[in-house]
Amino acid sequence: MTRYVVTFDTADAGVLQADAPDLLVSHGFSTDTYFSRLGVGVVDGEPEQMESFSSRCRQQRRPVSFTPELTYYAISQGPASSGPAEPPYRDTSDLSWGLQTIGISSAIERHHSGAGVRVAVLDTGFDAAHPDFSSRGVIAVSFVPNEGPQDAHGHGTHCLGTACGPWQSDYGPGYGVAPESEMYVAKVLGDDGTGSDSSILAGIDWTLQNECHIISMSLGADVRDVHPPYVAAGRRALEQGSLIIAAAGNNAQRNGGNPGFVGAPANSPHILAVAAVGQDLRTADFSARSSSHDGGEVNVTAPGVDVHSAWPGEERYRSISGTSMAAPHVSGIAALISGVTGSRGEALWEALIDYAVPLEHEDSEDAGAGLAKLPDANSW
Amino acid sequence: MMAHQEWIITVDDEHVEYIDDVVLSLESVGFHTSGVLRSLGQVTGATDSGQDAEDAVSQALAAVEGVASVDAARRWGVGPPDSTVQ
Repeated sequence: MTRYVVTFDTADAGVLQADAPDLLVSHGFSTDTYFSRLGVGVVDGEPEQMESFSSRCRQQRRPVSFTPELTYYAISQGPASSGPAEPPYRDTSDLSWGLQTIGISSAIERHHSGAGVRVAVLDTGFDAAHPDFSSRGVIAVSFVPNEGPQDAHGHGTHCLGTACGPWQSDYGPGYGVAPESEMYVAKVLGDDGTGSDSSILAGIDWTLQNECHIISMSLGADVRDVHPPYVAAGRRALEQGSLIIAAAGNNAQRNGGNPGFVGAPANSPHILAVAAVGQDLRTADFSARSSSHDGGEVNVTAPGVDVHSAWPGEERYRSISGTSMAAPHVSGIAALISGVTGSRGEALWEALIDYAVPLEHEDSEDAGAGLAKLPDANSW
Repeated sequence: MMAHQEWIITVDDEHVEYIDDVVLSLESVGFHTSGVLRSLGQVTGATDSGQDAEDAVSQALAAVEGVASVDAARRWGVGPPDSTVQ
């Protein structure tokens, strides 16, 4: 059993005082901790039970949201006991676990949605017919010979969804960090999921011509050597006010004793490398550890296990894992911060590091400065 | 059949604004340009390696004025769509 905070989404006092407790009781929940003025209760339940309760309430036009109850600690003070500190996050009917974890409520409360910030996703393209994006302008170009920007793989649509998708969806939990950012899609990996330097660098060059603030690259190779073209590309992008954010790599098998290494191009000194954590905020089994050379470090970590986001075609959504899923969370965070502060390039890099929260049980070799987060609601 | 090698040429900071001149010089030593990336200061293209060893070709390109580095192009990727880790 997990403790959940249940919130009835209405200002109708009659509903909050009478209907809401009745609904709770009829589903076997206690009303001992129900605050009728707030419409908020705390109950013990299983995830399936909460989902079924939520859908029944929605059918009766009494929408509710629920989130696992969090335990709060004073800053810099950990919990008294050892062992896993954070409760595991889970997707709710409202929000993916990733959005909850990065502190999206702060952005929602302050209406900071990335408006005016240009986010480029360099990947396998994008499904232009996806219902969550059909009403939004997406500028999409293919740099793959003989292929258009349509995503026949899925990876690109998923990554774009995490960085720029909606806070609310008619078809499931909200899953996108920066829903009003301007989306620039450069297809640099073909439908088979592979691509050449020529395509990727042409894609980066295009994003610079379009003055994109953030360039999200969930791609790489399991090679330790720094690839020099990306050193120059990362530096020149920063000089022009664009920050390249890349996936650290999935070459670890930590359960087998292999921590892996940050691969190219994330191992370049001017490219921000993102590792992945799971719902328990522990480093994911596959997530690569810092390489020893200058610039080969993991810089921050972000949600990257069972990440719910958009998928092409009838399927619409899929939950997948990888540092590829972590990087666009950070790209979205960067978009929201840039939208408020106007910071770009190096300054935006530093802001991401400053707002990251160290994870008590994780080594900085694995998690860098810590979990990428949004500022608290009262501090931006 | 002639061997074919793709290259990424990075132009040094001083020559980025004269990148067209660098491209002409590269082409004069047998470089086939596929892209001029003006914002990045890079040029993509290929050589027919022919009888030359790859390092000889790369040395000829690196000797062009304004070239900071010559790197053989790599391929990159993500996992297949049905893989759980991508």
